[in-house]
Amino acid sequence: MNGWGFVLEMNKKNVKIKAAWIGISLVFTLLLAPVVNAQTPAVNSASDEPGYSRRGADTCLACHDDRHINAIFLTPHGNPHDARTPFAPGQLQCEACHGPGGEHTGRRDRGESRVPMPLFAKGSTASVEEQNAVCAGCHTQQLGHGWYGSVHETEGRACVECHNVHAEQDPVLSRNDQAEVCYACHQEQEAQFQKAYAHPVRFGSMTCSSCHNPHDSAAAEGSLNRLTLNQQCYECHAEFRGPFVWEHAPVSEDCSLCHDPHGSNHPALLVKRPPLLCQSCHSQGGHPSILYTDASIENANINVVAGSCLNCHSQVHGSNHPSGPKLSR
Amino acid sequence: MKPSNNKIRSAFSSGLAASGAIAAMLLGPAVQAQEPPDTSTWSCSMCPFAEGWAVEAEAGAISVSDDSAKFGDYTGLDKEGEELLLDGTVRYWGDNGYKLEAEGENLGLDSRSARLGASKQGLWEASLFYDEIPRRRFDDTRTIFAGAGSSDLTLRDGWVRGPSTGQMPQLGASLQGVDIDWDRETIGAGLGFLLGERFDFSADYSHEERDGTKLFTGTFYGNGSVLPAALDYNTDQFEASIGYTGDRWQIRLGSLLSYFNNKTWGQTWENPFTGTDVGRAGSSPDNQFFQYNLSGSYNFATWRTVVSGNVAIGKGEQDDDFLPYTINPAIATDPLPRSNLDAELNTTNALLRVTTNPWRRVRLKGEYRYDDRDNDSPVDIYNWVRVDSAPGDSTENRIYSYTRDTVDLEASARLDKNSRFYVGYRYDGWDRDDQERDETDTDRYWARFRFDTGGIVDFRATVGSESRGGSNYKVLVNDDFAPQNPLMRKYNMASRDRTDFEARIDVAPADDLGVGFAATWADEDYSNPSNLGLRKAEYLNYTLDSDYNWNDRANLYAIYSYEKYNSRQQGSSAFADPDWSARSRDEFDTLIFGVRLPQIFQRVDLDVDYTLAESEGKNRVSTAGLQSAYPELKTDRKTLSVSASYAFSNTLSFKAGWLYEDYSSDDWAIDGIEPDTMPNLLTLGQDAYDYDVNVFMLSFTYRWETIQRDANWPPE
Repeated sequence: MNGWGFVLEMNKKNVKIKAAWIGISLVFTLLLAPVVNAQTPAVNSASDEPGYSRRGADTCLACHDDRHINAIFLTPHGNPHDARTPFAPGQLQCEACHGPGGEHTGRRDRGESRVPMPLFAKGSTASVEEQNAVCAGCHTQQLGHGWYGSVHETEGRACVECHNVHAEQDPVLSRNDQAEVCYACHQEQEAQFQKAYAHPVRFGSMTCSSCHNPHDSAAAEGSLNRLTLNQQCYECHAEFRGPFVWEHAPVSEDCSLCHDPHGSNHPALLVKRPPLLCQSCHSQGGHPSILYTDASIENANINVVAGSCLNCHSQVHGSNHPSGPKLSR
Repeated sequence: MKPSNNKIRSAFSSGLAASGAIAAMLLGPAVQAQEPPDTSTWSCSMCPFAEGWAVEAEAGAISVSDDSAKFGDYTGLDKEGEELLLDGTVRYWGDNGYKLEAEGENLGLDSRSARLGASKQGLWEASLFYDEIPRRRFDDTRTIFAGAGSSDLTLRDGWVRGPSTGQMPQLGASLQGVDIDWDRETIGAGLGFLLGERFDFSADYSHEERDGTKLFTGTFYGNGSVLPAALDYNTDQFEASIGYTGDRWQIRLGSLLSYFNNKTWGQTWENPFTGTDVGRAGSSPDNQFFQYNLSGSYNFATWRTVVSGNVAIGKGEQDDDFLPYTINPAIATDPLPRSNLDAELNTTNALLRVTTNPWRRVRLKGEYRYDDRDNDSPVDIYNWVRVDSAPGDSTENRIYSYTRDTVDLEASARLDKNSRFYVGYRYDGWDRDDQERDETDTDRYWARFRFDTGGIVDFRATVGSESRGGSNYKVLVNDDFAPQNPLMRKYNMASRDRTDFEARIDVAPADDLGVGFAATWADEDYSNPSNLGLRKAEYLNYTLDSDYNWNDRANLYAIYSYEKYNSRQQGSSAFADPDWSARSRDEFDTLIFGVRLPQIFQRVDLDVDYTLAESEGKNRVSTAGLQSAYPELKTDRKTLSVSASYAFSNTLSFKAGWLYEDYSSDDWAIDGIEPDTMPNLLTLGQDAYDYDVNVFMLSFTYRWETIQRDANWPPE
């Protein structure tokens, strides 16, 4: 037994008894220090480095007992029946992530400010690398093979910038709330999803992670889930996968040559309206290459209004009809 | 399950698991030297571990003031009237780590979703889900065809065909309303489990159905009809992976099987114009794609080096039976060269990445990526028929393959505790078959500076410059297709110089206030000014955002974003040198702000959100001194939502909400285009979106819990 601990648990109003016990405890402590240190080396480390708290989470909860912090017990991190979690028997509980709490929970002289916890605490000086290393210590599999060297890792983003471990439902893992977390940095994309034609992220029908993997850019550019942009698009738009008898070359190469996946002012998320979009690549003699002025709109020219080029070339993504070389069948 | 004694402790000890090794390397020596404490007395007696139930159910009504397809697109609120509001979650934590979760959202609407999950954390998890996405394109469309939404569209009895829409006497009387809409419904299941401490396995299956009516234009010589065509797709996808996590390495083997099935085999329609009687177009063919992926990484102790990579082999197949050359019996045709394409597409994707830290403050990264699309489909001569009306040419089908190599090199140096400087080089090379340019090569150089105090100021700026060139641009000579103007340069292959800049600063001068500003600019110059096609493209975006939290009694946020796309292109009506040019500009203004007032009146929470999203699109063309401007494309959406909730008690609350949305737009492509406006195209007559809708919501939410939330149990 450690004499200091006995003192702390006594009735604080009984000063005289307390003083006597302090004296007795001091003697015992000095005599028994080598033995005590051997039993609880982390609390009184010979290296004078901050040790762990005395009673783990019970020490922390004595002060930090509120709904936000306690919500962790409703999450996978707070499940004691999974031997891997911080609160499984034998594990380090709060200090598994926040670091040794001996200094933070130790006694303070009057007026002395409390030292913050080493990690994930206000005033903590831990670097992003140090913070992320704690998460990576357990979540290697979830991070995947592509985390190191990915955009977020290279940019020095901390796991806790996106993940709220203490929340009952981590917003970034919730379909309805994930986008708001991403928008904290990606406001450009938040605005793009407000455009007239956009993927339905703002309605909650899709999330950012429907297409993107923020942990892993070992896939296609833009940290997509799939290995190429087109493979990603075919997840939901497999009708364009083909292959077709009559292919439209840019379609099989890169959907974003014509479409803006986040949002656009043009139907089907096109980057530009036809005929000008199509005339960026088509210059064959005749109707593909002639100039269409505003008069063509006033006259409701079939090459310009309604579907424009698609009024005739409706199979713009490719045709599997044997009579489809003009993409009209 | 056998406890893993090292998993948590390893983060603060030496001699560790893979990323634990990295953790040890990254952490300070003081912490690294820590011996784990004796936790046998750490009873966690005050820990409110979850056991029991948490149920929340919200039920009420939604009232929509007006019909609007655009407002109902994705929301399911496209019809005037009342709808059921029904959401709920049920969660159960068992006494041995079992967990059960069920949730349903928008159960009374066409945008409903539901999920059921069960798990024994640390061992297995299983889930089922259902999801519905309503697409509502137009509800003011009208068609003369019977059988809307089917693969066989017919003219109504008594129809008299005419050479133009103005000469179709039954047109007006034949028009009937048809909605252009479809639903995407997906059901799926997932299963995952851990095999020992290091193996994990997961499998997911989904079945998606899309069913409804889509827009499609059926054409003949010089005329056509916009059709309310059939949309009936199924997509089945199965994925499985098994992974192993070692002390310093991990590896994963995965597979993807995807099957697309189109229940429609050809879209047929009777021609309302004089001429050919019937037309039939092809439908998206059934296709399959299989892919096997091996990925992994290894963490070396030396220089904290991580080597990671993946290689994937894929195969796409498509052997949907061909339609005949034509549905027109009056045209004699040759036999088809084959009964189906018997298409085969082979894909190879590979990545190798190395990150290393040879010096304490310096980090290096190298990455090589290889993507190959090898279309190995048969090439044949097709003696095709022009729009079911006349014999065509003998044409050989072209198939396209490409190989892409990308090399990324990056070096970064930490200048001090808060600053980091990056430089990088990127090579992007394409080899294309049967296209105008065999090879394109892009070299990109970039640099970035980052300053981050870890709380008050976060600033970064990136500047980049790239140049694309390649092999000679050639004119494809193919007697089967009309030739391009030799001066045309397709913008995905044209030589190009690009400069870009991106900067962002976030400032948090106080704990409760954050302000950010970001700007992005890119300029692309397609080098030779005498060429046709895209000549120049410019992109500009800047955003301003702020967030203020007032004593946890109010939260205010605001975001403003401006975005602009500019492009210029040239063409030649004379099939010679450039004789016309066009300039396109799209601009977007977005303003979002909101207020959260929790417990503004004791038990009342109030939320107010406002969104303004405006856009303008301009096209100007010029030729030989003549300048012409297309009408402006405009969209203007204003959305205001107010909701208030009152908590009768911890278990029962009432919520009232009001949403108002006003949308107006100008779209020269469809404005004023009635079914008979265009003499040679019979349209569905839809108008540009214009609506204002009010939505009122009332609901009660009931919560029932047996779980412990506080250390002081039971709760008051």
